[in-house]
Amino acid sequence: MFWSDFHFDGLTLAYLTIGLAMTTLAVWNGRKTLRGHKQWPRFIIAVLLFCAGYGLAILSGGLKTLLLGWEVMGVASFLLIILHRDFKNGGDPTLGIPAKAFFIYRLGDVGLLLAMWASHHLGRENAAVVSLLVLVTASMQSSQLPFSSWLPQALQNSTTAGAILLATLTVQMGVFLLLRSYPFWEHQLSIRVLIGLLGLTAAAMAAGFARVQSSVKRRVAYVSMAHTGLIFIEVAAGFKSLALIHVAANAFLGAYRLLVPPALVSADTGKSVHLNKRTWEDRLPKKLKYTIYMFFTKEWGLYARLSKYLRP
Amino acid sequence: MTARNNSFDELAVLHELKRFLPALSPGRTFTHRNPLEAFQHLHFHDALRHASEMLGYQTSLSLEEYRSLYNSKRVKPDVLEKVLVEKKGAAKTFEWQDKVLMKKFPAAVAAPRIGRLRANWQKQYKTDPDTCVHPRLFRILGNYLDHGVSDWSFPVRGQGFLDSMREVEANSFISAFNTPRARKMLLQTDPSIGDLLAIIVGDEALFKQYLFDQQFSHRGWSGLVATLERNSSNLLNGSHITLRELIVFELLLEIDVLDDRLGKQWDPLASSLASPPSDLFAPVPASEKSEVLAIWQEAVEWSYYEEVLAGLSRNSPNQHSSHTLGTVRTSAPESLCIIGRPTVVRDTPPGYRAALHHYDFSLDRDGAELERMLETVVPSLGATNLEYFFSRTNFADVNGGNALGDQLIGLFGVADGTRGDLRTGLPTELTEGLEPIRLLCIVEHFHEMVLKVIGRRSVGRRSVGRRSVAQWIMNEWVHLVVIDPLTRELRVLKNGEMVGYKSDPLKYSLSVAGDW
Repeated sequence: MFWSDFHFDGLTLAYLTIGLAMTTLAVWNGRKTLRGHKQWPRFIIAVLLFCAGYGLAILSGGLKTLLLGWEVMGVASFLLIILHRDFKNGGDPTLGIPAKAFFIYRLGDVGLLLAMWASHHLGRENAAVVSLLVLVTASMQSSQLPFSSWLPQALQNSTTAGAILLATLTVQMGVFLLLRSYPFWEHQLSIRVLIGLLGLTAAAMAAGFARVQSSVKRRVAYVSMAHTGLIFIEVAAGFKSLALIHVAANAFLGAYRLLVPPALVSADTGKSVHLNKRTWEDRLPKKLKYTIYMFFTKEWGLYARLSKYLRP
Repeated sequence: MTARNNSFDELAVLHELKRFLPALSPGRTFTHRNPLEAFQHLHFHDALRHASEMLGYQTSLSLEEYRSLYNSKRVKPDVLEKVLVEKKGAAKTFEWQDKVLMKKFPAAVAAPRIGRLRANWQKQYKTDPDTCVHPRLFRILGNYLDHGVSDWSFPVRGQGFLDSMREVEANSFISAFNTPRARKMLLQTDPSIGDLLAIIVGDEALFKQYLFDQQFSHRGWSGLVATLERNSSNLLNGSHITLRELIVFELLLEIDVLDDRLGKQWDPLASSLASPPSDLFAPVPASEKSEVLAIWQEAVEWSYYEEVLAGLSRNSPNQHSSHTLGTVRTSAPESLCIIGRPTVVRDTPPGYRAALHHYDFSLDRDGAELERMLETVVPSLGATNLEYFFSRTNFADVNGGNALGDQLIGLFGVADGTRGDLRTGLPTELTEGLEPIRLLCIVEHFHEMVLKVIGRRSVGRRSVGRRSVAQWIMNEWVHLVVIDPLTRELRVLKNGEMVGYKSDPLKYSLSVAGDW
C-alpha cells in the first residue's frame, strides 16, 4: 500500500544522480568554509532536511507525496538562506529577502494544493486549470517570470554551499514538476505554447540581466534562470531527454561558477585591452543601446515591484 | 575636531570626509594606512573611544572576550594588576580590579552618533530612503566600476561618473530615476552638493553631519571611491570617479525616492526636526566601560610583550632556560619590531615573529640614522599592524557572521550579502583567533637620544607626514621600548616620558615596585 506512493523511473534516476553530485559538492564546500563555525551544525541539518525533501519529491508517485517533499524542501531552502543570520541582535532589517523566497515557496505550495484539489474535484474536463496551476508552481520554483526575483536575492544572501543547492537543485525542481506532469498536459497545445513562451521570455530577459551584472553571484543566478528558460522550451517541445541533459549541464555549470569564483583584480595590474572588448551591442544605435542597457540594469523594476508588497 | 560652522564649505567637508572614510582599494591591495587615521592626533585609547562612539566602529574586543582571555591565562593576573596600579593608583586597584573582572555593564549600548540625523527620515516621514537608494546606487556604481565580471560593460567609457550618467540619461528612453525632478536636475543643471542638500535637509548647519551620516551608511563604497580619487588611478576600464560625484548622484537618487514616496511637495528634513541631533564631532567623555576596556587592552598587550622583554633584559644569566617553542602566541603579524644590533635580536625568545632592522647605535651619534629608520619603519609596520588590529576587533561585529555570505562585485571588491556595502578591513580568515596587539618597537639606544629624535620629529619640520611618526609614537599607536646599550636597562615610553621597566626574567613577571 505504502509503496504505491513512490515511483521510480528514468526521470527519478536523472534527478537522483544530479542531486547526489550537487549535495556532495555543497557539503564538500561547506565543510571547507563552515566547519568550526557555529553555522556548521545548522548547515548539516538544513542539508539533511533538504535531501529528505528532495528525495521525497523526486521519488513521489502522487501529488500528495510530492507536496510533502515540496514542503520539506521549502523549509530547508529557507533555512539555507538564513543560515548565517544572527537573530540575537533582533530586528534584522534585511529579513525581507529570505522572507520573499519563503513567500514564493508558500505560493508554490498553494498552487500545488489547488492543483491537487482541482484534479480531484474538477475532473478531466478541467485539465487546463490543473495544468495552469502546475505551470505557475513550476515557474515560481524555477525562478521564471514573473516570479524571477527570488533566486538572485536568495543567492546573494546565502553562503556558497547553500547557494549551490539553491541554484542547481531547487531551481530545477520546477522542470521536474513539468516533466512529471508531462502526460497530463502533453495533449493540450495551448499549455505547451504557454510554457514555451514563458521559457522564451524568461531566457531572453535573464540573459540580458546576466550580461550587465557586475556581481558574481547574481550573474550565476541569472545564467541559471536563462538556461532554465531554455529547458522550459525544450520540455514544451517534447524533447524530454535533451531537457534532462540540459538540466544536468546547467547544474554543473552553476556549481562550477559558484565554487570557482574569479579572483579580485587590483586597479593597476593586468591589461585593460580585453576590457574594452566590443560586444555586439556596440553596433546598436546609441539611443537603443543605452535604453536596453538601462532596462537590464534596472532589472525591469522586478525587485522594486515585489519588494513593495514585502517591505519588512 | 573642527568646530561646526554655519556656512557649508563643500571642499572642506569633502576633505574631511575623505580623511574619515576607510581606505579601500580595488582588488584588496594593501592600503598602508591606519584605519583610524582621522583620530591619530588623539591618544590611542581616546581615539578608540571616539571612533566607537562617533562612527560605531567596534574598536576593542568585547568584555567577555577579554575575560575569557584572562580565564585561559593569556592575560596574566600580575600584568593586569600592574596595569591597574599604573592607571588607577595603588589605592584604587582593588576597586577597579572588581570592575574589570566582575562588573556587569549594560549590554545594550546606545547607538553611535553616526546615522542619528538621517534616522529622522524614519521617525518623521515613516520612510527610509536607503532601502530604495542603496540597491540602485550600488548596482549602477558596480556596473560603472566593474572591470571584468559583466559581459556587457558600462556603455559610456572614458568619462567621469556624472558625465557618463548624464550621457546615458540624455540618450535613453529608460531613466535611472523614477520621477522627473531629479532627472531634470541632473540633465539641465550642474547641481552643487549644497543646492541638493538645501532641498533635502534645509538647514545649513546640518549639512555636514547629514553627509557624514549618508556616506557612512555605506562606508565601503565611499571609501573605495575616495581611494580611487586619491590615487587618481583610473580603473582598468578607463572610468574615473570622485567622491563629490558619488555624493551628488546619491543625493539626486534620494530626491527621486523621496519625490516618489512623499509626493511632489515635502518639507526638508530640518523643518520638522523636534530637537537638533547631538553634534557628531563633540568630544566623547570617558566612561567607566571605556576605561575598563582600555585596561584590558593594555593587559593583553603587556602579557604578550612581557615575555619578549624578559628575554631582552640581561639581569639574569639563565634567562633562556624556561623558554620553549610551545609558547608561540597567536598575535597579529607585525606586532614586534626590533631596531638594534644582532645581539638584541639574539636575545629575543624563540617563537616570536619580529621584524628585524639592523642598527648600530655607536655609529649614529646624533640619531640621524635612527630618525630615518623610525620614519620608514613605524608608519608602514604600524599601519599593517593596526589594519590587523581593527580587522580583528571588528570580527566580533554583526558582519562577522555575514562574511560567509560574501559576493564578489566587479572584480574589485567583496560585498557582504545583506546590506550590499563593500567590506572593509582584512578577510576574517586572516584575523580569526588572533589577539589584537599594537606594534612593539624595541630600539637599542640611550633613552635620552631616542626622546630627542622623536622630539625633533614633532617640532622640527612641519609637514604632516613627518610629524605623524612622532604622533604614532607619542600617542602610543605604537609602543616604544628603549633598551640601554650598556646597562641593558629597559625603558617604556608612557605619556611622553621614558619610564623604567623592570621584568623578572625567571618568572616573566613585572615587579610592582618599579619606578612605574
